[in-house]
Amino acid sequence: MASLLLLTVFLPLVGAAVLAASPGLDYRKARRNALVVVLATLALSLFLLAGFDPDKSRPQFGFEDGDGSFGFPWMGQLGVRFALGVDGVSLWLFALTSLLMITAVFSSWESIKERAATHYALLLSLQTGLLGLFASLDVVMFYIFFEFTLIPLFFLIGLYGGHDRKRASVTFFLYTLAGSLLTLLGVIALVGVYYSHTGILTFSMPELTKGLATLKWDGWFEADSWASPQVVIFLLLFAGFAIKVPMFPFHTWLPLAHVEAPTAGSILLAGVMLKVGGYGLFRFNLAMTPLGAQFLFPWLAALSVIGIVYGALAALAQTDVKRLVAYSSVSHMGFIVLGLFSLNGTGMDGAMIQMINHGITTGALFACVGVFYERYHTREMAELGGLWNWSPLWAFFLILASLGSAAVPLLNGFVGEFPILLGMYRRSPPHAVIAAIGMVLGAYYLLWMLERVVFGPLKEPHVHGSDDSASHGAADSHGHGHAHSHARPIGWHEIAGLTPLMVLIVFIGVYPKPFFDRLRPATEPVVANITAEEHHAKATKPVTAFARPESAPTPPQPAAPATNVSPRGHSL
Amino acid sequence: MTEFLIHNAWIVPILPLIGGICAAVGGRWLKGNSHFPVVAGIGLAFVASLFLLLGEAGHAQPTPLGWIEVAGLTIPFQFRVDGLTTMMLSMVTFVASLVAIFASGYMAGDPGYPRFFAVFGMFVSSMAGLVLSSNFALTYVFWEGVGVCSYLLVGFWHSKPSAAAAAKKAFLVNRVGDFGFAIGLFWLWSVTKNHDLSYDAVFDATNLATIGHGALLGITLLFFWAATAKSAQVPLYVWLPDAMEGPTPVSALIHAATMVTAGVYLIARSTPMVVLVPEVQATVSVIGCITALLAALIALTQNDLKRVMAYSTVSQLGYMFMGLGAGIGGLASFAVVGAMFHLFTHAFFKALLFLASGSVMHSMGGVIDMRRFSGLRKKMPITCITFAIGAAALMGIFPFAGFWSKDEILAALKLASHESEGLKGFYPEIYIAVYWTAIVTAALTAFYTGRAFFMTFWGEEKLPSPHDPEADPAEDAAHGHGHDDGHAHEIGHESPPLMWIPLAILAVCAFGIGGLLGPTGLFAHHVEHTPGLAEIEGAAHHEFDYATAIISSAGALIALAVSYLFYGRKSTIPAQLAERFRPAYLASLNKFYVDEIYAMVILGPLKFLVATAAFFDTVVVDNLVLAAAWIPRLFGRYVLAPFQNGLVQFYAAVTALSVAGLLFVFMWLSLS
Repeated sequence: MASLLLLTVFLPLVGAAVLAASPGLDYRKARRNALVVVLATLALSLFLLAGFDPDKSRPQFGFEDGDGSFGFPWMGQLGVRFALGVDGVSLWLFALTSLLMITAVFSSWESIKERAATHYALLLSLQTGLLGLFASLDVVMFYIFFEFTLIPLFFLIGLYGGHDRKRASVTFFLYTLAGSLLTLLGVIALVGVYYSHTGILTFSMPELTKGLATLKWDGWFEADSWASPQVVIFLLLFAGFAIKVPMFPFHTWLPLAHVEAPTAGSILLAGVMLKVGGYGLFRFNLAMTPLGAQFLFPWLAALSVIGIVYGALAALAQTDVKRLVAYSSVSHMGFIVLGLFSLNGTGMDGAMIQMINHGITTGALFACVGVFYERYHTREMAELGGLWNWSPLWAFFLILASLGSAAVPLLNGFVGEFPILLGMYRRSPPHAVIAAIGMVLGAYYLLWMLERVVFGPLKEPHVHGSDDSASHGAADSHGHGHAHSHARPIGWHEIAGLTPLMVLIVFIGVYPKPFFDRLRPATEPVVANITAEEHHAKATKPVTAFARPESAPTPPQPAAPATNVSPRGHSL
Repeated sequence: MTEFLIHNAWIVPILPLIGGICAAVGGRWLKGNSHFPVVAGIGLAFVASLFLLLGEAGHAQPTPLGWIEVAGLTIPFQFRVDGLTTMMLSMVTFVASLVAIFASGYMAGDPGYPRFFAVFGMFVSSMAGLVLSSNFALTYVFWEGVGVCSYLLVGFWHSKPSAAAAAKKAFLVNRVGDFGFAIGLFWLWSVTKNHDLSYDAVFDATNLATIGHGALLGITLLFFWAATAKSAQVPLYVWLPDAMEGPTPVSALIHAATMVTAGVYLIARSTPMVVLVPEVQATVSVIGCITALLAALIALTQNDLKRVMAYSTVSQLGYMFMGLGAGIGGLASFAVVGAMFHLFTHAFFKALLFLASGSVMHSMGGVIDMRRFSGLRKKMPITCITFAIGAAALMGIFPFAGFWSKDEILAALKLASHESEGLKGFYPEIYIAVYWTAIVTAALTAFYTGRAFFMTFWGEEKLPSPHDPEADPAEDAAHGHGHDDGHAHEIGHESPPLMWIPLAILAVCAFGIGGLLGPTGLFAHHVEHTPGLAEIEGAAHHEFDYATAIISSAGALIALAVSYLFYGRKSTIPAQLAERFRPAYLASLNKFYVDEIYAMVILGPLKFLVATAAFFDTVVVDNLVLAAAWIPRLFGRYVLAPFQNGLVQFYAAVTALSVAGLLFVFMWLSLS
C-alpha cells in the first residue's frame, strides 16, 4: 500500500508533465487526457480509502523502518526524510482533493479552449501539490508542497482569470507567501526547540508532535505571557495558516482571487486550498503548541466569531454571486476554526468533518456559478433571475448545495456545524451564541441568493455564444417570465461533475459514521495532548489565566462522556 | 404485526419518503400519475400508525441507530411509541392521506406535479419523524426538516416573486426560532446527566432535580422561543400569512394541520420540564393569549379567504398555547391534554376549511378575493356544506368538534386562576385576564368565520370577472395553477369527486370527532399515559364546566348572528363601521403594520450593518493590508538601506555581532 500512496500522489504530476510537453494540444485531447488522469487518481484514492484501517491513530500507507520512523532518509545528515502517510484527518482531505479534481476538470470542459493543455497541466500539478501536502509526514516536505501549491494556482489565476487577474494573482501570491514565511520560521523554531532539548534533529511530524508534548523543559509548558515559547511559536505558525484559512482580518485576498479565478481554480481554491489552513492549524498549532492556543484562546475565538458574523454580513452586501460565495467561505471557515479552537474533541471532530463538507458544498456552489457564467458572462444578480426556468436540474443542484451549506439537518453541513457549536459552547457559551447568529445569517444570504438567481420569472442577459441569440436579442428576454431560454442547456459533463458532490451532500448528512469513525482516532491524541498539557501547566503553575475550569472534572481524554445509548456499539 | 411495528417504528416515516423519492425519480415517466407512490406511501403509513395507535400500551423504544457520534456528543436515530406519539402520528398520516388525494385533483395539469408530490412525501416523512423522535436533538433535526419542505412547497410556483419571497421569509423566521432551539439544546446538553439528550434521560426525575431553576427557566424559554416561530406566535408569527402563497393543499396540511402544531407538540412534550417553572407557563399562556386576540382582530377585515384562514390558524394555535400554559401544579395533565385535544380537532376542521377554500379557489380560476365572488352555495353545494361544518367547528358551536376542545382549554384556564392563588409570588389575575380574553376571542372567531362563510356562499350569485373594480389582472394570472389544465376554463363548477370526497370525510370528522373522543374520555385516556405526563399528579379529567360552555357558546352564537346581519344579506353596516372607526379598520386591514415595524426595527439596522461591513471590507481592511505591505518597503528604505554603506569594517562588525547574538540565543534556549 505504501507504494500505492506514492503513486497516487505523483501520478497527476506525471500527467501534468505529459500535458505540458505538448502545449499546442487540441483542447479536446487535453481535457480527455486530464480526465483519464484524475479518474485514475480518484480510483487509487478510493482504493486507499477502502484499505484504511479505521482503528489506528498512526499514519498509514507509509514506508516504515524497523524502528518505527516513517519514510527513508532524503537530505542525509539534516534528518529530513521522505515520508508519506495518511491518518484519519488527512485521509479525507486527500480523498476530497481527488474528488474535487473531477469537478474542476469537468467545469473547464467547455470553458477552457485556449492553451488548454497548459491549463490542465497546471491543474494536475496543483493536485500533486495538495495530495503531497496532506500525505506529508515530514515538516520539510510539508513546507515544500505547501509552497508548491502556490505556483500552479498563481498561473491559473494569472493566465486564465478575469479582467483584473494580474492584480488578483499577485495579491494572492504575495499575501500567502508572506504568511508562509513566518510559518517557516515557526516550523524551524519547533525543530530547534526539540533539538536543543533532546539533541535529536528530526523533521518528522509524528515524532515532533509526540516529543514536544513530553519535553523535559518546564519553560515549554509555561504559557502565561506573550513571550512564552509556545505562544511565540504559535503566532509564527498561525500567520501563514490564518491567511490561508482565511481568518478575519486576513481575508481580503480571497474575494479578489475568487472573482478573477477561472471556475476550476475557484473550486480548488475554496474547496481544498482553504482547508490547508485548517489542516495546518490542526497539525502544527494545536498538536504541537496547544498551550499557545490555550493562552490565546480569547483572541482566537474572538477572531473566529468575528469572521463568522462579518463574513456573513459582507456576503449579504454582494451583488456578484461569486463574491457572495467567496464571503460565505470566510464565514464558514470561521466555523471551522471556531471548532478547532474550542480545544475539545466535540468541536475538533466537527471542524474536521466540516472541512470536508465545506469543500464539497462550496466546490458545488462555485461549479454551479461557473455553469451559468459560462453562458451569460455575468454573475451580477441584478442582471439575471429565474434560472430555474432555464434548467430545473441545475436549480436543484444549486438549491441542494445551498441548503447543505446552510447546515440543514440530514444534509452534510449540519453534522459539522452542530458539534462545532456545541464544542464551543462547552468552552465558552457566549462565543457559541454569537456564532449561532452566523447560522441565521448564513441561511439569509444563501436563500436571498437563491431568491434572486433561481426563483422569479426568467431573466437573462444577452446570451453570448449560443446559436440563436443574435436574432432574438436581449430586449424581449428582459423582465418577462419566458418559459424558454436561449442559453445552451446544461451539459452531461456539468451534470457528471456535480452529481457526485450532490450524492455526498446527502450521504454525509444521513450517514456520517464512516467519516467520524476514521476521524476520531486521529483527533483523539491531539485532544488528549491538549488536556494533558493543560493539566501539566496547572500542576507547574497553579493559576492559568484563561483555562476555563470545566464544570465537572473530566477524565483526561477522550472527553467523551458516554451516553446511555452505548455510543459506539451500534451501527446502521 | 403490532409488535413488529412498535419495534420498527422507523417504517412509518420511511414509507412516505420512499413514495416521495419514487415521485422525484420517476416523475419524468409517471407525469400525471406521480401522486400514486406518494398517496400509497402515506396511506400505508396511516395503516401502520393505526396499528400503533390501537396496539400501543405504555410506551416502547425501538433500538436506536447511530447517526452523529463524536467526542462528547451522540445523536442516534431514536424513536419511541407512546400515547402522544401515536395520537399525533395517526392524525398526521390521516390528514396527509386525504390532502394528498385532494391535491391529486387540485394540482392536476401543473407542470411541477411530480415535484409537488415528491416534496409532499418528504414532508410527511419528516413530520412523522418529528413526532416519533425520542431525543431532543433528533427532534431538532426533523423540526428543521419540515421547515425545509415548507420552504420548497411555499416556493413551489417558483416563477412567482411573491412566492419566492414568502418561502424565504418562512425559512428565515423559522431559523431565528431554531437559533433558540439550538442554544437551548446546548444548554440542556451541558446540564443533563451523561449529556444524554433522549427524552427519558432528560425527564428522569433525579436528573430534573439536579438541574437548577435558572437553567430550566432558560432552556424552556428558549424552546418556547423556537415554538413561537414554528407555531406562528407573537413575535414570530409573521411568516405564516405570507406562506399562503403556496398551493392550497400545502396550506391545509403544513400550515394548518401539522407542521405549525410542532411548536405546541414540543412544549407539550417538554411538560415535565415546563411544570417546574410556573413563570414560563404563565409566559406561554400570555403569549398565546396575545397572539389569539391579535390574529383574530386582523382576520376581521381581511378580504383574501386564505388569509382569513391563516390568521385563524395563528389565533387557534394561540389557544393551544393558552391551554399548555394553564397546566400549573396538579392541572398539568388536564391542561396539556386539553391543548393537545384542540390541536387534534383543529387539524381536521382547519384542514377541511383550507381544502374547501381551495375548492372555491380552484373553481374561481385562482381568484381568492372574497369581494369578487359571492352566493356560491348553489353552484358548489358540497363545498358549501362542508365549509359550513368546518366553520361551525371552528366557531365552537355545540356539538361540533371545536366546541369540545376549546371548552377544555377555557376550563383549564379558569381552574388555573384558582390553582395559582396559592402560589407564592404569582398573580392569579393573569389567568383570569387570559380566560376572559379567550372568551372574547372566541366570539371574534365566530364573527370572522361567519363573515367569510356568508361573503363566499351567501348573497346573490357572483363570479369573478375581469371587470371587477377589485380585479387585478396580474393577481389573476399569478394566483394558482396553470390555466391550461382543461377544467379552469369554465368558472363556477363543483369540484370533482377526487376533491370533494376528502372534504366529506374531513367534514364527518369535524362534526363528530370532538364529541366522540372528548366527553367520553377516550382521547384523554390515550394521551395521559404518555411517560412524562403520566407521572404528574392530578387527573386528566375534570367536571364538565357548564358555565364556561354556556358563556362561550352564547358569545359565539351572538357573533355569528351579527356576522349574518352584516354579510349574510345586503347591508351597509360594515362600510359605515369601517368609515366610523377608520384608524382601527385600517390598522386591522394592514395587519397592525407589524411587517412594516419589523422591517424598520430589524431589517433596517441589519442593512446598516451590512453596508458597514461592506464599507469596512473595501476601505478599512484592504487599506490596512496595503499599509502593512508598505512596512517592508519602509523597513528597507530606512533600516536596511543605511546598512549598505560600503564600509567593509562595518559589515564585519555586523557579522560578528550577529554570530554572537545567535550563539546567545542558542545558549539561552538550551539552558532555560
